Amino acid sequence: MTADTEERRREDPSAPWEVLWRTLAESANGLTPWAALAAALGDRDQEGAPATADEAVHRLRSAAEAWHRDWRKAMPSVEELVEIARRMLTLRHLGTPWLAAVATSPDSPWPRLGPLQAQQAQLEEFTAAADEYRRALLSCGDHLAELLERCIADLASALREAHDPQTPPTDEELLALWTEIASRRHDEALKDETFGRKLAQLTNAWSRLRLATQALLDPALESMGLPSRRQLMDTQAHLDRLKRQHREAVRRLEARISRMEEVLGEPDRGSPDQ
Amino acid sequence: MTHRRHHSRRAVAGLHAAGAMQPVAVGETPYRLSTRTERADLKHYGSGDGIPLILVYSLVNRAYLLDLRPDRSVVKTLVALGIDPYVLDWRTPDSMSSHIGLLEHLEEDIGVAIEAVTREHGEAPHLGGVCQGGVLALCQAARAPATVRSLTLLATPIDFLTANDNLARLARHVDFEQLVRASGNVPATGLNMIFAGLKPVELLFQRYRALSEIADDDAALRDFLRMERWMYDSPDQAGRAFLEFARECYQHNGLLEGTLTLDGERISPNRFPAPVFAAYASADHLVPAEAAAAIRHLVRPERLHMQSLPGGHLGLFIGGNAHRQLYPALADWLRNL
Repeated sequence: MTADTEERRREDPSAPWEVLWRTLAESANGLTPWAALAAALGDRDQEGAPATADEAVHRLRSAAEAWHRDWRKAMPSVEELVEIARRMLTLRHLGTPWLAAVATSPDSPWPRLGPLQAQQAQLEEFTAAADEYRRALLSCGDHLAELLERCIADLASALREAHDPQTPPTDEELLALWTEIASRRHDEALKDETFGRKLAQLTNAWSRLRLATQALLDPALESMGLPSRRQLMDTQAHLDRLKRQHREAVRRLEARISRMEEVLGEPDRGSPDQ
Repeated sequence: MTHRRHHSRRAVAGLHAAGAMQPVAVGETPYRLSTRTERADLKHYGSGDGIPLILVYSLVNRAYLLDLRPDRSVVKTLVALGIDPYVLDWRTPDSMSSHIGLLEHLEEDIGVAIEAVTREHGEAPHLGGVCQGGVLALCQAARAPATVRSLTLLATPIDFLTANDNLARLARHVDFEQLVRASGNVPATGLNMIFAGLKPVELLFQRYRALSEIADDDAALRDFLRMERWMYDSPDQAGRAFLEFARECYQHNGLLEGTLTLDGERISPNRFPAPVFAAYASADHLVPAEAAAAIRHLVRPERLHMQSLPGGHLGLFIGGNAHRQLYPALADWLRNL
């Protein structure tokens, strides 16, 4: 909780609701921009009700632009991510201090030469994955910002039709209009293949980055004598193979028993003294 | 005082009341543990004298949706109608489950549950499933048709390529193989975000805003919290099973195309010869009506009873109409087979 929020909480007993409300709305930020609206509506009390319909739209638009700016600002840079990767390699050096420093400049023009080619390749893959992930995140954010702008444009035109531009809409009117427009536009976006493609690109880029991170982290853990994900997955796969072999053996045995029963006829199920 | 300030004050009152009420009780109807399969608990409701109906729940959420509220409990309603429901309630997969596929779920869980109920009742039970659980039930019924007397499908998707299927559209371009390789079991939080992202204005905006309206109504607030608990109390998904379902159903539309293959075994759902009861909601955003109604392409009309109810996905389980119309119709149908 920020100092501002804390201050407001003391002054206004309804502030906890505002805080929770925004937190809940922002919890969806990974997929949706609707927190921008929550912020815009939440500020109405603080800033005073908008004097006109135009001002209401202007506030929404400012909130949407701020959301988009924050989204772009929050993107980790590839350099930051690569720095994290380098630290993982440093950790590996602690486990194997006799190794020379591995190639830590993935964008270097040098070919992979010498005993540390695998490490260089891992770092290059990590850099490419981080770059792809960042681009996918930006692309999703831009797409959502466009969607938000379309919603605001719809709202502006609906308000123009229903109101004198100098008359402020009531909270209820604004909310009812916005939810109707946002729901409809969001549903249209979901039906558009582009939206699905962008979210899929983001998911795929996330998977690739996660795999690249694991590839760097696993040897670092192993070099310290610690269990790695790779080892756990190998163990799981081995147990799974054994289980499948066992199941197959049981199936074969059952089939053999039933073939034998067919050949020999139904076994006598009577009691031993019959 | 402005309307907004009044709304906020009521919402705060609602929050205090909600906080004092948590945790809310769910799944309160008494049951007997019939058997524990590899990955699930088979919960038996009723006296043992009713018509045995196994309900396979979805892997994605928790089975207590069928007993979320005492006044709208599916299991309670079924018992009152002379049915003995057996709910196959999946336990949370552990990290060792990431290699477990759907075929294991069919053989080692649903198949074992059917054997257990057959032993208890001395006759083959009726099999049913909820949402994804219906797909699993259909697959097992197709693999071993002689072991069950009929099939009941509640909000079960069959065609994953219908125009209104937003979930399928989002899944179309995802590399699920890579996703599962990277994550092992698939985290429930990610899936919940996707589900909420299908209706963000309703689920993340209107739903909480409406909290102020029920601030003084204990019963409504308790129901709100029960649903809130259920919506986000989801298990992680066993990696391989998730991959198979996403790829075979969502990407290849294998149920309808007849190409569904699990661990090398081809599943042919149109081979199931017994009667089928299929119910779906007309405004379901997770399983569109036409996706569920596509069961008619797999089952001969004389063996198929279809029932559509107005409302959304959850209305089929906690809606008043479902309890007044759907479940009595299902009980009659089962009784007359």
